[in-house]
Amino acid sequence: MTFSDVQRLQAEAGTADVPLAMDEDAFRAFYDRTASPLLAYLCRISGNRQLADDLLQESYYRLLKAREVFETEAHRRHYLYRIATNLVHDSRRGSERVLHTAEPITDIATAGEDREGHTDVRRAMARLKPRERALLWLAYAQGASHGEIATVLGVKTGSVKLLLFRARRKMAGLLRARPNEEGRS
Amino acid sequence: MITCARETELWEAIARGRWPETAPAELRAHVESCGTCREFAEVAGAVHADGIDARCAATPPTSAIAWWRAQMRARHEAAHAADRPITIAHALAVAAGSGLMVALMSIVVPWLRPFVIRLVQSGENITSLPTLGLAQQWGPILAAALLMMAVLGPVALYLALADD
Repeated sequence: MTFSDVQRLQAEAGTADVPLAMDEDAFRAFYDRTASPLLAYLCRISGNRQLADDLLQESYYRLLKAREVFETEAHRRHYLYRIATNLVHDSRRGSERVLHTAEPITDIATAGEDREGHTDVRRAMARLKPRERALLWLAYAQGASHGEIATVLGVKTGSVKLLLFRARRKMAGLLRARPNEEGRS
Repeated sequence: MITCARETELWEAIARGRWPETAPAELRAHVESCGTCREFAEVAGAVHADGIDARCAATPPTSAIAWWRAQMRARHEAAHAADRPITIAHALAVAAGSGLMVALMSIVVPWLRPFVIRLVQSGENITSLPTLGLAQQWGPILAAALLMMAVLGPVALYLALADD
């Protein structure tokens, strides 16, 4: 390969369409169906709206670059959620940008009407571990089955029920506790 | 782990938006009396309602923007990947130049050595040594040339291989 070959390749790479795992129409249709719930999920489990926006774009990009063959849309969606979940965990390990404090998560649902009960839910969610948040969110906000939750979180299907029970119990305790009690616990 | 057989039924009511107002009275009565179901309704109902609000409030970028960003990034990465052969060529050129310099030095240094030793050890008139006469004449020029090559070689290489 000569330098002129390399320069030609560089020029082509800078302007030509790069092949991705989906074509534009398929991607846009899939994105329109999944972006809002995924952003809500990322906001809740990361606790940070800015981070959630970044991770949303990153999740779709990694999906587009993936060499996986998806037999169904559900398979593709689970894969996307798994990417997103791993990204949140990675970002949490890499920095302290993810909220894990008693502060309420006030980013996403505060735009528009907000009810007192929802603030309590967000405050309680913020005090859970990210995996507990993800479990509760997938089960009750997204209505995912235990099998789907297991796929997204990378745990055994059989253990989801117990993990969910524990997370629910912890969340119930936090919902019953008053904010000043939470701060002390 | 404590579970109740009616959790599934309760979840159906929550997921379909029937809990608690339009749920069957009998189910509501059960939940009132069952601690497990009460806890389930409390948590699942709250998270479900919050999920609906969060999805309504979530405003992701449009699919067109998301696609465009993905394309831009893929192109950038492809261009970066195409850069790699040039980086490797740079590294090879530097390595080859350095090797050449070392080889030249290994030839020149033994030739200059007697002259340098003699110069350092005594203040005698070195021109009286016939073998060192040539070294005295060409040695400094050769050393200067090597020094210039060492300094200017990488610069010339960079200028030759730079994009613009």
